[in-house]
Amino acid sequence: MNTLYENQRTMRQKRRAALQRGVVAILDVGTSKIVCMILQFDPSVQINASEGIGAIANHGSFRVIGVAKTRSRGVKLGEITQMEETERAIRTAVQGAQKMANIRVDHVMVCFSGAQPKSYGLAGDVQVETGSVTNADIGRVLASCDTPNFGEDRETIHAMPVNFALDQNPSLSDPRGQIGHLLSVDLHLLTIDARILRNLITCIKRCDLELAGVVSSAYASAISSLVEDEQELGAACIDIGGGSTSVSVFLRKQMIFADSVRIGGDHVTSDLSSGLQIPRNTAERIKTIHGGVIATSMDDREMIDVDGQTGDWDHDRRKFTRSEIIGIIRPRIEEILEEVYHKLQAARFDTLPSQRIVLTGGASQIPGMEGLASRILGQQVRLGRPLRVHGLPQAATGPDYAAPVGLALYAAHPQDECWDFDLPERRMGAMPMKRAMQWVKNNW
Amino acid sequence: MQSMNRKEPQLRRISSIESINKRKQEAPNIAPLGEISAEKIGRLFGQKTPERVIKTDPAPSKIKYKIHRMWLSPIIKRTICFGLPTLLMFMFGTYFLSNDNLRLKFNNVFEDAKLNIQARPEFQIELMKIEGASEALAMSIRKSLKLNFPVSSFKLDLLELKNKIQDMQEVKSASLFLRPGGLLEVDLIERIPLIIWRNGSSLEMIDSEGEISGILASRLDRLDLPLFAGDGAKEYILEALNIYKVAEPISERLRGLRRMGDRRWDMILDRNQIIQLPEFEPINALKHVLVLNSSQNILSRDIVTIDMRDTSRPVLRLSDAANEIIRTSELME
Repeated sequence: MNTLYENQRTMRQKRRAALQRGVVAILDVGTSKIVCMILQFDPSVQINASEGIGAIANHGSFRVIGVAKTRSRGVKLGEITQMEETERAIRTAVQGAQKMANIRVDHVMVCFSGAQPKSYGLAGDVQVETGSVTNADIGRVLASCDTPNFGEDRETIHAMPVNFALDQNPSLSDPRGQIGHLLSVDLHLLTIDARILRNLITCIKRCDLELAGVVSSAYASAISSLVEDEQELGAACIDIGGGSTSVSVFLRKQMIFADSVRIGGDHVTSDLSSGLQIPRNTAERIKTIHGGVIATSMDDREMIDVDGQTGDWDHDRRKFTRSEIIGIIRPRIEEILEEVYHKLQAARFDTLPSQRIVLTGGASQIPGMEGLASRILGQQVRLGRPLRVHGLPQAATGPDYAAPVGLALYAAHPQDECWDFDLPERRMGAMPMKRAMQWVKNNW
Repeated sequence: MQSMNRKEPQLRRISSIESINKRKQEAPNIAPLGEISAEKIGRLFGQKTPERVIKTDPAPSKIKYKIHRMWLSPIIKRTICFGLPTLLMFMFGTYFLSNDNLRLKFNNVFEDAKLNIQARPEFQIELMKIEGASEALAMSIRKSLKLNFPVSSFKLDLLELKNKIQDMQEVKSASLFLRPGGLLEVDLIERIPLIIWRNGSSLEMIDSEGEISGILASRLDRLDLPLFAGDGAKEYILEALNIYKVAEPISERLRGLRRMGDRRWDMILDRNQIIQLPEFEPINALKHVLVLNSSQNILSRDIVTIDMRDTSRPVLRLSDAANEIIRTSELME
């Protein structure tokens, strides 16, 4: 965990450097599209931000000056499968955004949904040394959490202190300066497959960009689509993307659980493609134009042409009713929602004070989605759209942009994580020399 | 899927020969299959060929991407847009200034071009038109300006020419214009002489403003102008002109007025007759003489001087010849 801690700290430094320069790029590597957004930070608002957080998580401090979207290539289930292709797609998106912004970006924050995130709830406690809680105490209490053995090839992507308790006071968001003896913390740890993260980092490096932060897209899309009281009282954000569906649960403005279901909108497309024997492009078009999940008798009469280009007249001139198409789409959507339901059950979502469910992501735009979801997941379902941010083009305000917009908000005002505090060095002595050697090895 | 093989009903089978004939009628310039494109075959035989999609990679190549990023970085952009041209200009300028030969050549080329443009027929002045001047004055202006037509309008210094013209005594004011069609127009206002003043040995013409408007060689040139002479005559011109006006009946004989001792006027007639006018009220005295003349023809007699200085008692002086006659006639008696 120590090297990771250092990595995350350097990423934080790079984020700070990027904010100093005023420009940072946001990259959402999805299965169906890659979005690059360039944010320009207003230094005058930054000054205010140092005194206190601005309205709605500081989101007035930046402005989107460039957005580019490109079809994602070489990404499956939110994970990179073909590095070269993905690298090209990232280059396309970054160059498009740079062209629009007419500015060069060097720092980039990335979010992605794959790599099998796993949540761990950790707890630790420590005696306060000086009577009142200081930053060092918080560092110690975070270090005191006993890390579970999550495997060699997994890395922590988020380690957020969710809740502090000081003596008898069970819920504190910021205990610094308070007087007490026993400080305990609940830590939410999110781990992902390290190999997949490393692939992504390599891709970014090959594009001459510096990584200023990695965020799980479950977290990012929840930031942008959950409103403040939903985050406070308890809500789940379900981002149904192309290759995977990410689930995150919020309580008291903290993410307490995140997971992903490895089914998404692309599976619906491939179902349609194989079911109707049409190419994927046509299937995608039919899904977006005529798709739905609740069939009515009207849909039996609505005939949909399938233009094929095989040259076989009979094959190319087929027609389907809309209910046939719904009949293919619906089971897959149900499957996704059921998987999500199981994940939420595992997270004991039903014990939260409020059980709001917000659907977002590209596939949530299928007509009738809300009704279907409320049957499976519970009554309080709504469709979420990302928060409005300055300068975002109208075309990029749909639910399919929830993750990049959330990441932009996160870039403006990141949640304090483990690596924002100085953890006490566990092994002093030989370490500095060893670390220096390591640094030389890494950098030369 | 029950609807996979939904067929459109076909009404009549068309035999292949029939259909080929029909298509030949529709497309008379039908060509062997080898020579026409697949697209055209598709059109001719009612088939839909798969659209050829040219797959271009939207991704920029690595080099392109890096160059674009370099171009967007401010230092490089500023260097290319501003630094490089400045450097080039500086280098060229230094080379140019340090190379005498080149500079000379450039100057020559520049001068040649300038002269060529100045010598164009559009800028040639071929005529000078002088308006508002007598012929003699116009001649003298032409002579004094010494312009060799045609001349380029760039070489004419109109202000200098104007000053030169205005410096002439006969000219009150002048304005010069360059008119289209190669015309230099000079609009003059001449000084109109009112009197002649004999100043020492020269005859000066003076206009109404008291300015000298020319010098006469001979009194005979301008017999129409009154002549004044003597010290201080210039200051009493108005009085003299009034006297001249009263002397209208004898204007045939009048030669001029002479100021005597800067005090009073002598009127000089031909045959050297002199009417001596008094210092005060000379007009009344003159009128007296005129009355005498009209009643007794006094002026046609052989009298040299009519002295009116004492207005109550005119004194006549006869000529020597008359005195002689009178004396001999008295002796005869």
